[in-house]
Order: sequence, then C-alpha cells, then structure tokens
Amino acid sequence: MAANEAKLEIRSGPLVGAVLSRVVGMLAARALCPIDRLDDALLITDAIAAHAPDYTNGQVTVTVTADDDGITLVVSPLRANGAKGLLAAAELPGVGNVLERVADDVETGTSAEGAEQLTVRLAFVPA
Amino acid sequence: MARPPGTELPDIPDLSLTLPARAENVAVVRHAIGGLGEALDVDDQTLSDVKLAVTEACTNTVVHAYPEGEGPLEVIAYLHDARLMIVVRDEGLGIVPRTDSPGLGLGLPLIATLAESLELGTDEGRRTEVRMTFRLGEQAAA
Repeated sequence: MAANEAKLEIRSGPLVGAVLSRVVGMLAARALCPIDRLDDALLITDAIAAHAPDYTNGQVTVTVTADDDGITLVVSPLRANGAKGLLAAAELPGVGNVLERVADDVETGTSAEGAEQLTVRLAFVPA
Repeated sequence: MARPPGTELPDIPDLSLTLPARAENVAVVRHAIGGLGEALDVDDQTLSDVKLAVTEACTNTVVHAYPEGEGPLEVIAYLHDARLMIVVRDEGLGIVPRTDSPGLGLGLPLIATLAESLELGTDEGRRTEVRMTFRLGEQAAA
C-alpha cells in the first residue's frame, strides 16, 4: 500500500458521499493540492458518490491515491458494464460529462482481479 | 484469543477504511469518522467521544504495532441496533506490555471510559483488534 493511499468500502447510502469526500479532501490537501483543484477533486468525488451505488452490489469500494502531481480514484468492483454506466451517469444537461470535463484522465477497464473498474485521475496542475 | 461466541460481527460493515499505519493517517480516520457521524446524525457529545476513542486506538496502532516498519491500519464500522461498533485492526505485534513504551498507558483506559464496551482480541486471521461499541441517541438510531 502506498504511503498516501486509502481504500474505502462503504455500504451504499448516505455514508458514501459523507465519508468519501472527507478522505479525498484530506489526502489531496496533504499532498498540497491547490485550492481550485481541491474543489475539482470534490466535484469528482460527489459525482462518484452520487452514481456509484447504482453500479455496485450494495457496497461502493474506492481506492484513493495522492502523490506530488495529482490524485487518483479507482472505483472497483463494479457490475458488468458498470464502469461505462457510471461514466455516462456523470453527464449533466448543458454541462457535459462532469468526470470527463474536470478530470485529466478517465479510464474504464478491468482490475487485476478481473472486476470492472473506473479510474479517474486529477492532476494538481491541469495539462 | 479468538472472538468470544455471540460477539461475531456482521458480514458486511457499513464502512471499512484501510490505510498505512502512519501518524498523519490518524487525522484521516478522525475526519472520516466525523463524516460517518454527520451522515448518521450522531449528537455532538457522542461523536466527540467516538472520535477521541478511535483516535486513541489508531494512535496505539501507529506507535506500537509495527516497530520494525510499516503495515496496514484498518478501521471498520458497523451500525446495528442503535449502536455503533468500531473495530480498529492491525497486523502487528498484538497487545503486549512494553517496558519501553513512549506513552503514558492511558489510551485503553480512556477508550474504556468513553465507550459502552471495549474488547481486545484477534480475528480469525490473528490480526489484532480493538472493538468499541457506542450507544447512539434515538435521533441517530432512527
């Protein structure tokens, strides 16, 4: 486990947003994330917390890793087609896809254990 | 020391947070517990007690569990029957007396005072556990 990493498993419901946003905020702040990007990180966190429960089996698992250059959130395991579903759910009318617009890198894929996953990377200095 | 019969934990916790057992991560756990309390509408006094007790348990892990290096610190929370059970778990030495302890030895007595119940033991994987139970008010239990 990396020095600035946390793995969160939260039962779907009101705990997801409340706890995930605090952990992301703490790790990002500790990695000296600029304040405007901290706001972006919490926007991404809110989008994941709002929609991830619809694509998991009752429990949302997120691994958060912060380094000198940015913060990465990996949401896994997700149900079949859950990664693409979660990404599509972040679409807002008139705004576009929140995750794709705010994050520097968004990837759908498969974890080493074979589960679907969504990876969202936010750089502290935008590319 | 295995968990006594009748004190088994539910299969799926409401919250599990795993981090490296480092001093700076105690604040992350404390903050996460604050979020848990807010979402559950736990009253301020009870939440303050929970945060202090969990902080003490996590600090014990950071200070004592891994003298030769670093390992995981896991905090697990279960909400059941108007009670919040929090387990602080590590893969370290276990709870043993230390003549060279840098602390005052007040951590566990303080937790015992703050919590409704306190158990020390190991899980099935022989990981060290500090299990604390807090009674929640009617508002939070609803």
